[in-house]
Amino acid sequence: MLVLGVETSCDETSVSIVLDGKQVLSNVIYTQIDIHKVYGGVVPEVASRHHLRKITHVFDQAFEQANVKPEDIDLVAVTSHPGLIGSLLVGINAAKTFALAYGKKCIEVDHIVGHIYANYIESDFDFPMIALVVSGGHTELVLIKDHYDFTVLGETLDDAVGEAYDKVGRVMDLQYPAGAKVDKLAHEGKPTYKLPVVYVDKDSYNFSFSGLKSAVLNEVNKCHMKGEEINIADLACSFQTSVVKVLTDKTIKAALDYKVKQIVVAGGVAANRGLRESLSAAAEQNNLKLTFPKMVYCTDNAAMIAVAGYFKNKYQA
Amino acid sequence: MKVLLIDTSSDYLYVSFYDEETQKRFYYQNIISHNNHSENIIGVIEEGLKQTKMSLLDFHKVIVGYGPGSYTGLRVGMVVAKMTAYCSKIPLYVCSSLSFVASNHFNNDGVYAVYNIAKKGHCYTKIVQVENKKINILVDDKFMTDEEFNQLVNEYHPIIIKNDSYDIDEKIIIALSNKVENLHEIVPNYLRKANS
Repeated sequence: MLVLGVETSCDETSVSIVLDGKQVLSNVIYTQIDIHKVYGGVVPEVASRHHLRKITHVFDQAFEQANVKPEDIDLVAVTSHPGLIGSLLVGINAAKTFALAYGKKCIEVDHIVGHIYANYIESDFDFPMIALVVSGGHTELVLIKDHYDFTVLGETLDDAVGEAYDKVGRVMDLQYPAGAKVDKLAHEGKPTYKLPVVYVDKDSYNFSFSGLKSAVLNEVNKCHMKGEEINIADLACSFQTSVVKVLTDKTIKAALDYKVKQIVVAGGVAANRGLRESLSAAAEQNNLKLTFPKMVYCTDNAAMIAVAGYFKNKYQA
Repeated sequence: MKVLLIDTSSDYLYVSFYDEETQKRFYYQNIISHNNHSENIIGVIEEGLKQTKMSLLDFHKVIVGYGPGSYTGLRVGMVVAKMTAYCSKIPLYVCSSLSFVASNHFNNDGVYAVYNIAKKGHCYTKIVQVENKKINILVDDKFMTDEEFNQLVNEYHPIIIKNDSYDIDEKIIIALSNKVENLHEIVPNYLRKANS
């Protein structure tokens, strides 16, 4: 089955064609990161305008790269939520118009489910699984008993982890998006600053990052007041150590509590090297199968939507 | 030549199927859609295709009102129009939304001020003079305050066309529309920069 995926939930316009939920024939991504850098974050109206400018071009490239004809598509899958409403509307209406023109079924896909299914491109799923969803908008631990059988075990009570990275990056004068830059600096520094590791409570699967973010800000302000120089690499390392520890500990705890066969990591922060190293070591220690998506499928992309759409159609539609 | 016409710049959703040979519309919907153009537009077009036993691929050209007007509304109409033109491999034409929604009035001589409400005491407007079927633009599509609009009204003494008197004429819209040379690059005429 050939599935056409469409993703426009934030600042990436993406169209992909995937065969049988596995083989990515094309995955074209137009990113607006450079446009939003000057604003220090994504501006919804600007994002919507750029999606509309690029949408047919991205469709065109996706078909050209996949070397298939529009008539060959069996199913259309589009991100319906969550995301920026103005951006989502461009993708949804583009996908529905395409489906109407060619008489194809169009199904709506949850963006977070898409991120989870990005892992399926790398590895078949062994249920039950735990998914750690970490992005600029979400931080969740999800128990997955079978295809399209999700139970959210815990989530962030305040900032999403990617959001915390961006905010801490801003405090360190790093340009948006700061996640990769903080990760790189963290590998050059040492965890010399004493920052909190917030577990919320012992048995909870919930997360909280706003206190940690404030602690970083306090360290910076303290140094400014004392006229001391801040060691940015050490501060990044201290921050990342706290973040990664709580993410790793809670994920492994959930995996053991629910006796899962696999852990998958989903979302933009899945690209974080510190998280990959920490979780890999912990999973190996506990004999747990662990999957990360390829770097290209960590950020927003339509291939993951096509894969999720394929399984939604198979198991839920 | 079968033409698909769309405008979503105001509270109204316009979809018309028009035959250029017979100069007749053969499907027409004009619904008050407010902020729900996105939820309604595909269903309205789909219903038209069902009633007329047509496919979206059967049209020969598509015309869209490309603004000015509600940003989100404009994008809904434009993305459907762009994708229709892309899928059907047919030309896309654009027409000022203010001309689109008032086009039937332009069959009669007079001076017209077309008004589309914007946020916070502002509006989108244009003023045209029609003389012997010839349409002259006196004030081209503009974003302004209601106060500035009133000053224009005092100057030109036009017949004011607001949303309760919008009325479309496909033949005039076709005459006023321009062919898009680069489908991929076309965007609505927002008239204003995005707020950051």
